[in-house]
Amino acid sequence: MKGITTSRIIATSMIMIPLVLIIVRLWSNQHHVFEPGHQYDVNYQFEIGKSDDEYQIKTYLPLSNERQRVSLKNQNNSNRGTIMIRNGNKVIEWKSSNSNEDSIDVNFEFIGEARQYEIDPAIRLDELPREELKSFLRPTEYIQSDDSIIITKAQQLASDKATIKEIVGSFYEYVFNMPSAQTSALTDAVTALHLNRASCNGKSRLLVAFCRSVGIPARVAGGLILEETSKKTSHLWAEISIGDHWVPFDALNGHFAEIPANYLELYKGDQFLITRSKNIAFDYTYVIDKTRINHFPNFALFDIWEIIDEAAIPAEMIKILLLLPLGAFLVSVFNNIIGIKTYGLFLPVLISFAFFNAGVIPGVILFSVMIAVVAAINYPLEKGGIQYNSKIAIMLIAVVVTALAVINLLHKTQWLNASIPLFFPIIILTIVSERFARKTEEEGVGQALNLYLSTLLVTLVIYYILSAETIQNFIMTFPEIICSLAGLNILLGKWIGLRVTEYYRFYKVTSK
Amino acid sequence: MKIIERIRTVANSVVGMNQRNLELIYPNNHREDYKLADDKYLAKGIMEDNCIACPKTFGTIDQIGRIAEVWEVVKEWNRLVIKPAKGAGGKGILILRKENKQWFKGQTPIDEEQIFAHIANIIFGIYSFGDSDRVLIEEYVQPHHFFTDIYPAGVPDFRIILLKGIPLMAMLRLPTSASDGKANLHQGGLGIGIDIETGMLKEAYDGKQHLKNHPDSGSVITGKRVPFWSRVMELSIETAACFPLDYLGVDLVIDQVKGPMIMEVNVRPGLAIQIANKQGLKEAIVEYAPQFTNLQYAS
Repeated sequence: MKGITTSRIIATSMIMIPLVLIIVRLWSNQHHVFEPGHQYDVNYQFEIGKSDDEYQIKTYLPLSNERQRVSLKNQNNSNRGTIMIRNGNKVIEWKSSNSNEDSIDVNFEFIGEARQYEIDPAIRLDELPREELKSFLRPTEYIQSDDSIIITKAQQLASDKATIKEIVGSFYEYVFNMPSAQTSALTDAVTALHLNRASCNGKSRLLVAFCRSVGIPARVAGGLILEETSKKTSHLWAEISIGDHWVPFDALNGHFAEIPANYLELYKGDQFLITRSKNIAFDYTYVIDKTRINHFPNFALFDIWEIIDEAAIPAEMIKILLLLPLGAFLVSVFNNIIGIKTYGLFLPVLISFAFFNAGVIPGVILFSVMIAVVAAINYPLEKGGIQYNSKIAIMLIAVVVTALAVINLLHKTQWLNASIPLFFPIIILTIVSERFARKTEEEGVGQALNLYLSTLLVTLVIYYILSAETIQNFIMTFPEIICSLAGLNILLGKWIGLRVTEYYRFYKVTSK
Repeated sequence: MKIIERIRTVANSVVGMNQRNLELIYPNNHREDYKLADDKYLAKGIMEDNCIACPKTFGTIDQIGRIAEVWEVVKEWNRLVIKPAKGAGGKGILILRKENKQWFKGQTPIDEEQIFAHIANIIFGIYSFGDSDRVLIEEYVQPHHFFTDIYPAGVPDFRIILLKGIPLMAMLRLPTSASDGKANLHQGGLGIGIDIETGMLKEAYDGKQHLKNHPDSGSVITGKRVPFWSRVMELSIETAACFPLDYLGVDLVIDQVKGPMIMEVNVRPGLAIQIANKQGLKEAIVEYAPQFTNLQYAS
């Protein structure tokens, strides 16, 4: 009895101490780990050449809304712009008669969330738009919703469809499937339809024109796709008024009724992001920095994010290292509490890591084909009385040949990206094949196949757990949690209860 | 309600894998003593030193170069069993019979060259996962007619589980046509619970259901009394006493002429014996070894 209590006390403290530390860190730091892993620091950098004339530059600043949080930082400019709200957009304008070279810097922070919208399939086209939305039905210079070619095409696409969801779906489908053009030149809706080829601005205008021509209020929206880079390209997408919402559609990048987390919304309406006087030499860049927000430096024993950022150690490697104990713990829960057996403790974890690289479907195919090959050649090798080591070596050769064939096939069907590093997955799957061969030897093909299926099941479950971004972020931010895992393992190691599957196995003990 | 009742009974009486390992195997058996059971050569040495009845060893071979030399001696016998010392699950066991100087494996003739190859494979470690192994050549056990009356083929054996020298549970393992002569429950053999006080056979469990008759021959099983039962129990107790293992499974056979003999001992006896007996090991401990009911050895 005494022994049990001691180990329980040790285990409980091992579990609790890191948890206390984590709570302290959560309290003493401002960041929040469960929010998106990144925020973006966006800089507008404008360079204005020498000029004798007055000039005027106008651009848009983002507004915070339910999916984006924006905070403007100091502007380090001699020439402070005037900020005003015009047509629901936030505009900043600089006017100057300064003849010297000048530069303008605008800097803000952005945290965004992805949004997906459900379109109510009951909404029908014959419901008239509200009065205040009527202006979003009018044709404009570049969105020629009154042009006969647009109207004809839109009616053709909308024929025998009654609900907004179906009609918009059909428009979107058409525009999305239209070949993309890599151009930033302005393309109007009619030109886009004529050329059957358009970039983001042409596609967005065409989609909006289709909607307006059949009486659905729509507008274009502009902004930036944020990524760690410096760029000049802005982005345009469509917003369609459905129910009470402006629902975003990006028919270039394939976002139907959704907006990704890294889309910075800057303005609504068919506008230019920058308008300026023609008489000046002008250059601009959007400098975007990705910064981490799940960073808890106070009271951190190891600040892994800092190590990664400062020492340029690949995050992937540390992530795998930290996920290994969690994976092993999960496998032992499956083994000892649920009663599902696997090929050892680490193999399911390693196989799920292999799936990280190869992808789940190619991974499962590769894994299953390798196992099938081993099972198939085991019989003739055993019949031939081949010695164990030689047998395993021959199986290994067969596995390598199969792996090459499967990779070739997956590559040809484009299921597998050629640039994916497959060395690690293949080595792991080879080891698994050896274990399978061994099991076949020990307990026959039937038992080995059983074990293969249960290993696959456990592997898939832990794959989905370990690949969850929240879990990865948590363990990277609070690596001390692995001490709690050690404590849990001690408790698990003292667990004498029946495994879940044993209730089924031993149920017959009670039959009379 | 009835199902919940039965599940509760399972939880209260059955010993599962976790409890077996933590409270029966680990506290009662030292890790370094496992090999005394796992290696049949070592186990046999202990049994022979203690005059425990077991099949006579005609020879052992641990080097390829000695095969011919040992064979010269053992080939004088008319029946032989060749087995790997570290094999598990009955793998690699070759039962030979000689008729007019010709060796047979079952009904198939087999020449000396094939026998030598089999011996060499055992030494190479084909049945022990690459570890070099030792070959045991033993006397053939002729199953008692009690068993051949129920089902004529294969080698039936008993498994008795003992805790600190006290027999807790016993099971008879009988081959079926599905198990291909093997008495292993995993391979379709029958596990028959035994009342350890009387040696009376309970029902047979075939891995799916309990039966009263042998599925192939139809012979009645339930209610039969095992011959020499008290001797079987004594022998298992004597065997347990000469191993430094306090929780173990003892495997016995009953020879037509020589009576009960020990085949091997096992440190990790399986748990299916509970299904065959329709009794949990916890119940059995309460019944036969009440002084050890507080299974809290683990530290």
